[in-house]
Amino acid sequence: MEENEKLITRSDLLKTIGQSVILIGVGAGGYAAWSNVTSKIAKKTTKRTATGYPASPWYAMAIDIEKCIGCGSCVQACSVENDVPEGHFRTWIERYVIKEDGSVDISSPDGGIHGFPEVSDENVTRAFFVPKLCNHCDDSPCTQVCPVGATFETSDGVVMVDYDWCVGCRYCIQACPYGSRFWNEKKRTADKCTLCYHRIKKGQVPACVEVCPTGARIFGDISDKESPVAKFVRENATNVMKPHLKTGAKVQYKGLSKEVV
Amino acid sequence: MAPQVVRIAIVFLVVICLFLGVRSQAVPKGFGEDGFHRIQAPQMIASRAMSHAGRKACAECHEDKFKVTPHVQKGVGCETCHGPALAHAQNFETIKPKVPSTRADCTRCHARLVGRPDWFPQIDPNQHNPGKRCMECHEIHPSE
Amino acid sequence: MFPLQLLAQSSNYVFPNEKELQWSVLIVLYPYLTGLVAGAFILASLVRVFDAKKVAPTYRLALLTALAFLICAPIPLVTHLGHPERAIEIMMTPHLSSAMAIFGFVYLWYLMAVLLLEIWFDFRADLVKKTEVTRGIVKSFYTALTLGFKDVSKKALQFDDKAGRFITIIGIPSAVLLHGYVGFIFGSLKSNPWWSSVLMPVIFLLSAIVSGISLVLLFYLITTKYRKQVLDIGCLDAVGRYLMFALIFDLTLEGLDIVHRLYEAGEWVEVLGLLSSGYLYYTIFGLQLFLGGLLPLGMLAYTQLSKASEAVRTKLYAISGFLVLLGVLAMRWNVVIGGQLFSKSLRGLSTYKLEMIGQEGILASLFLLILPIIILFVLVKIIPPWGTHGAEPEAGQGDPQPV
Repeated sequence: MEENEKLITRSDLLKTIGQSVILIGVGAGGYAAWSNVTSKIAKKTTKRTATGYPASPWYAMAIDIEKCIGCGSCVQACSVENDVPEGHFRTWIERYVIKEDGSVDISSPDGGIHGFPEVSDENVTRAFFVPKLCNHCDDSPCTQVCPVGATFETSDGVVMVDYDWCVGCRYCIQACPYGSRFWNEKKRTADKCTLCYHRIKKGQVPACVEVCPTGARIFGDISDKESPVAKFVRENATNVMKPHLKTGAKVQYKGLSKEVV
Repeated sequence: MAPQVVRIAIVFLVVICLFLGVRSQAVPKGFGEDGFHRIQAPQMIASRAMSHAGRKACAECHEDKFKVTPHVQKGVGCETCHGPALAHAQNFETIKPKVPSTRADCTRCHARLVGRPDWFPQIDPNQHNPGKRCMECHEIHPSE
Repeated sequence: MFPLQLLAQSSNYVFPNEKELQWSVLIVLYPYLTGLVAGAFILASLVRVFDAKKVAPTYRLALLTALAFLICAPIPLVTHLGHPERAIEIMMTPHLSSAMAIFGFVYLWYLMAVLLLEIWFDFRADLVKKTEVTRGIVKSFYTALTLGFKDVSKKALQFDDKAGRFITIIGIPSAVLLHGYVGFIFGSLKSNPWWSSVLMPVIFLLSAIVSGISLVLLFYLITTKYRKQVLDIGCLDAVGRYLMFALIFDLTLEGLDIVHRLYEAGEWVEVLGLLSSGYLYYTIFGLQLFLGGLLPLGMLAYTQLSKASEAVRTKLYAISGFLVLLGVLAMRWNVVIGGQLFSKSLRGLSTYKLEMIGQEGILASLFLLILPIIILFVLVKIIPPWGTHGAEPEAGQGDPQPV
């Protein structure tokens, strides 16, 4: 190639790269400022209740893993109460069976709706059940990514889907780290646990809590010091699922073992 | 200004006006006033009908059963065994909740199972009076 | 090659709600089509902004290619929605914390403010000429396209050229934004370790550039042969060289991504190792890296380093272009489908079976890949892109085109 036929001159290249960087920078900065100021930062400066929650009531659930017997009553009750399509779960139970060789057998046949099959207890060092549901995260990845505002956190802390506004892009299902969301083929929208919003707003507890025979699920307004859930969380060492993801999960577990995914 | 720019500006203006016009009609009233969602959405979801009545509703008529039932005293709700019963509570003469009667109804919780915590009462269904109905020995709602 | 022992100690556990994949092959096509748009535009901008005269014969074809593919880019997205009739909400109530919400605006900006504008300024003189040689309804059609401005004086054409150059300068960051943002949609999800990577937008962008250059290269070859014109080997050599450099950057970053993940070895390393040594083995190492990456890179390097004849070089460019297009499609597949083949439990894998028929099957996908070519065919009929842009006073003269 001859000298005078250079494809790109350096000053041209630098100029355009410079312009591009500035344009992208301004765009990204503006976007970040716009979205962040309006959501996260604004949220942090809002008033908090005396117990440190953004509002009162502020609904939450606690789960006592040592009390779960894996009977599946909660899954059944939830599926009836919320008309959950077969094969999908707003709540489900997992069984962890830890063997002497260190292997971990995790299962959740049909979400545990019919309970769990008998297995041999040979070489089993430890086994337990873990009920799962939507964590109703306060910094929830799913509401963050919803492009149209069809999934949202209510002013009392419940994350829900507006079925009449959801476009069905399923980005929220991808964004949930817990597998709590599913595709509702009948509604053709995303769907998930509402903490039985239709019950708790009428003074009832969620269906899963109502039918749990051992009291493994504790529900209430955590901003109220006297509520069972506030008391439970205060008196026990609890943790949330995948705490490193910093989702602000509101479902807290007592007796959470390292094997739990 | 160059005439090209004027023509294009007109096209863009038309498009922007069209967009704003559609937007003024298509955005639901009150959207975003209480968080980024339709303002009526939480209310709409809250108004859904229930199917579980809750134990307080059961106690209104069945207080006698409450007093004598060991399960209730241990914190088990009625609908854990009897299933969703709001329809029954609203229409108690014609709609009756399910009455558990089989061994499976009891072993769902009380069969020995890997994973079930030791403190919880469990039996081995194959050893514990196989074939017999549980209620022949165990009274669920003992009479006073 | 991967540490599998830890996962082997656990049963295959997939969360019960994750039994089916959410994003099908249609969502594979979306970043593929968008990438072709961005890549084609960036090739075109080389001519305008960097004055790369050698690739000028591809300039206008590249613009029309970008437009044809941009028109088709949202089709797989909208048809995949559960409620396509609600798609407009994305512009009515855009949730600004969502990367996806910006799609409508980025798309419209790129379509209206960049591509259509640039094409208009570039083809305006041709459109005016068309109004002079046509009559009746066709004439009115072309008149409407000129927006009623028929001045082709030297002054007006000079303004067209200046405006075109200005728009290209805006267009480059816009093209970068259009496709970098598609990578961001995937890269910004902390729930998914296969996607979550700051490199994702950059890798998407570079693979977009290589695919776009390849596409225009192939289109240039095909249309020139079809019109029985002489290929401009200087142009081909230049495009081939750009393709080679872009491919080197692209492969370097993809390699860096793999090495970084393996070295960092987070909690996900076993499940991702299983995935890439299992279900995705052939599409990653076979299609994406070897057939679509190293092999064309070798061929392009050969054309640069050896004294191969023009005929051989042309053939090698064509094969490289085709392989790169295939490899980038495989890369999109590996990202989009691959990212959904493992459970968020990081303890289990699922599978995806591509169906032949149906809205999300192979045939529908093929149609979506052919549709932009049909649209391009129509566009070429309406505004033939042959020759350099007429609005540039000096370009055509001193540098005779073999058209």
